[in-house]
Amino acid sequence: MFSARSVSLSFSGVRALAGIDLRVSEGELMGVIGPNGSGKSTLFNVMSGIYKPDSGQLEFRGRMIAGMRPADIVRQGIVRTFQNKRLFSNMTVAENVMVAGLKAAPGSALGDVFGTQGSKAAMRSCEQRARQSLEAVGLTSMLEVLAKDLPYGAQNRLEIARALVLDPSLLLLDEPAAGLNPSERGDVRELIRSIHGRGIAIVLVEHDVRMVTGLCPRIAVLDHGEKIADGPAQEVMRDERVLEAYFGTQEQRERAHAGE
Amino acid sequence: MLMQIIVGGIASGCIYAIVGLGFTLVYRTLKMVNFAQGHVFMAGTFLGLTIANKFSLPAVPLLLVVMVVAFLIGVVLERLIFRKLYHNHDVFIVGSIGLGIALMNTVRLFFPEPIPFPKVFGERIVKFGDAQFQEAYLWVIGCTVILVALLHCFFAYTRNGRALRAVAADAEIAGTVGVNVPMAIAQTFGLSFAVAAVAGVLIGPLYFVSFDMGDMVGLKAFSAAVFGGINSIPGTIVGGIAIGLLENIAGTYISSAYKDLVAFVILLVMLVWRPNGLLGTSTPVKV
Amino acid sequence: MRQAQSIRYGPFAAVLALLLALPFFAPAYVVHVANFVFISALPVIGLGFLSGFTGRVSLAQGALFGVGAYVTALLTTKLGWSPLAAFIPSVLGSALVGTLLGGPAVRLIGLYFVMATVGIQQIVWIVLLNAVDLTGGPQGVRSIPAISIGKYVLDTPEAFYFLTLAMATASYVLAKRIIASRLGMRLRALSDDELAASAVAVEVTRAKLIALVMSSAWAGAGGFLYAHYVRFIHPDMFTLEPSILFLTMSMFGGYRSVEGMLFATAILESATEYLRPFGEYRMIAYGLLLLLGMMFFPKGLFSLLPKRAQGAAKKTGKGAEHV
Repeated sequence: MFSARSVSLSFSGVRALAGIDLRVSEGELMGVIGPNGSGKSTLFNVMSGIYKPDSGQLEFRGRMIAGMRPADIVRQGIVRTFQNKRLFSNMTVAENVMVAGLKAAPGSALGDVFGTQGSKAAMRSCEQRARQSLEAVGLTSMLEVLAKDLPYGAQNRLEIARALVLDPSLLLLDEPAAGLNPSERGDVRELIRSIHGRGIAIVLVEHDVRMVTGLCPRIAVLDHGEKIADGPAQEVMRDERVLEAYFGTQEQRERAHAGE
Repeated sequence: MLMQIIVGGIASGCIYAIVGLGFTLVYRTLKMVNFAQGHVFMAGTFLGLTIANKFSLPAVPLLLVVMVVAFLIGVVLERLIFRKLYHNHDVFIVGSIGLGIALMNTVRLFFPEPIPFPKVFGERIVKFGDAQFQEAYLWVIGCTVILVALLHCFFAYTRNGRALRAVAADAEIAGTVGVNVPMAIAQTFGLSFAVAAVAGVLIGPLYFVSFDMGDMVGLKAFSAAVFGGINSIPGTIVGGIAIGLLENIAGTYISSAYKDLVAFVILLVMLVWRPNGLLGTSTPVKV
Repeated sequence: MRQAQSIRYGPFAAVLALLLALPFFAPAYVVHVANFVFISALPVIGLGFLSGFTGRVSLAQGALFGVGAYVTALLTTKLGWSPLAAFIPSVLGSALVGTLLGGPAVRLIGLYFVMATVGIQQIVWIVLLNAVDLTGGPQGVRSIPAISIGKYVLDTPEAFYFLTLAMATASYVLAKRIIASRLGMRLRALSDDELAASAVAVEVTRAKLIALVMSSAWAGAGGFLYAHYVRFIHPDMFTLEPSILFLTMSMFGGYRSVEGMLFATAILESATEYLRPFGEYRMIAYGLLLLLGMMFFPKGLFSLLPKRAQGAAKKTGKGAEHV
């Protein structure tokens, strides 16, 4: 469904991504992990069109998408959430999701201004879809609350609801559980499972390695902009290079272990 | 004739360059544009005029006194006023515009009519090729060169100057290595006031001066800074002189009415085409 | 569920009734000032779309206001058009100038966009001043005819008042409805977080352009009214100064509140007129007002209201902080 081939990107001489190869199949749920600064968010930025790669190819369902604008990539069916929760702070929960819903209801303001039948119908269906999405994440009790007044966990869920209403085929979740307590994490885990159950492919970037291994059959590991492992979760977690990236070399680990 | 135009153009270009430096210094450090800059230039002229009339100072001491006084005023105003405007660009812009308006009209209270500036640079006529002009023009160009050289030395070789540069590059990091950031910002403002005031004194003897001369000069100096690169000192100087020259040439050969248009067309074109200016460094500016 | 930026009909009707009755009990001078308030409301509302909802502060509104004024002035004095017929060309003219000059700059980030609008303001003003054959240059255009609607000639402040009130009211209603529309949602979203907006498939550049067109058109409409009220215009009426005034009005009321903008317009415009006799002192006061206002009330006058009133207003979308 999606493939990235030899994707590289540098910022002022600093290599953020180096020759990344990644494949995602239809309906697959996979995880991407790696230490801080390994390029996970950059990868998402490239996949969602915010950055254009210096080299390499990105293909989604047969189309080359490198260099496309973010809005167009969303229309292709790739939707992402943001690690630092980019919500529309001065708009309500409902409005946040409805704006996303407008993708399916393009239309001029003219109809809305004069209250035509067509525009009213479009708005109503927009509201409905937003409501459905908010039900899926459990935020229907907070429709009129301004996004900036939401508690942290609710903000996370709003971010996901907004992504869902865009009708994604491939959903890129960027640290959806960051900063949540264990019970909230459990909720997010269930949410991801239910979204996956609808047939949507998901790439999950998370710091919480346990959550990733618990959810994703397949994991890719990034370190310093390179992919150092890609395969079934259990294998990857025992891979020497992965352990090294997180915990240091075999020697260092043994020394630390001995020093406990 | 051509020489006349060129020298005149370079002279007014020098003024735009110096006033433009004020914009650049503040922008580099704070990423904000001080719209009162043009009126500071004008106030500098009147400050110089008052001092020259009261104390009959010759040129060089006059320039120095004005520079120091303006510097101090700049530091004080930063502490008292500008500091409170850093919320965002728009607030800073409208606030500095307000300051400029208040300043202009205060000067207007004391000097409602255009008046001549004492000829502190002498009144000899200099011949250069087939052109002749007041020696004041040479003073303008000469002082600009000296001023730029002094600034360069200040920023490159003195601890204080390097501190200001560090703050301009990255205030946070500068703070962690022990630079007194608020002081540096205040000094940057002081410098921007000082250079504008000096420009005011330099231009004084060439024309009649009036309370509203800061408006146009300020805006054109701003265009000069954008043209050359609003975060680049050499760029601003090049931009200023370029605009001064282009203006004069266009004004003579194309149409004197539309002379003023040159600076603003350049401004608009530059922003759309190359927002960082001719010599500016690239920072993300387009969405 | 829809969080409509709705018009609260109760207060609206009350205010409207009061305004309709104004000419009958207020002195002529007040009516005169009210006219200026309503005329200014148009470019301010237009600017509100650009600044408040899209975060692009513009200092060119005065020039575009002038374009609208000049188009109608020239059409009616030189080509003998009837004023009403010149309305649409006025609006179109300023929309065109604004879009042609500002369009290429619309993708610049905030501060650079402001710089570009300064350029636009100056360019338009200089052209108005120097295209003597077309615009009459510094002499301006005199003897602009009054607007006549049917057999009513609107050549007194009282008569003109009802036209300006109507236009201001229509602008208010239109603005509220646009804000509540899909376009309005897109604009609010992109002014909150442009990156996120593009990540939810909002056509950011297109929305900004539409905001620019609307803003310029509204400025032109205001200019049209102005020309036919004062009946003599010249380029120095359309300098950076009115641009700053319009911007201040749209900022002082709090960025996203149409009511706030109108309120601020009423206050600032009245103050401008009443203080006119004081010459320089007026201008010094004005400058200080701007400066102190920005220093202590950067969020607009709305921040002066007690928290609960702000909260209630926000719920119905009446007010919000400026970004």
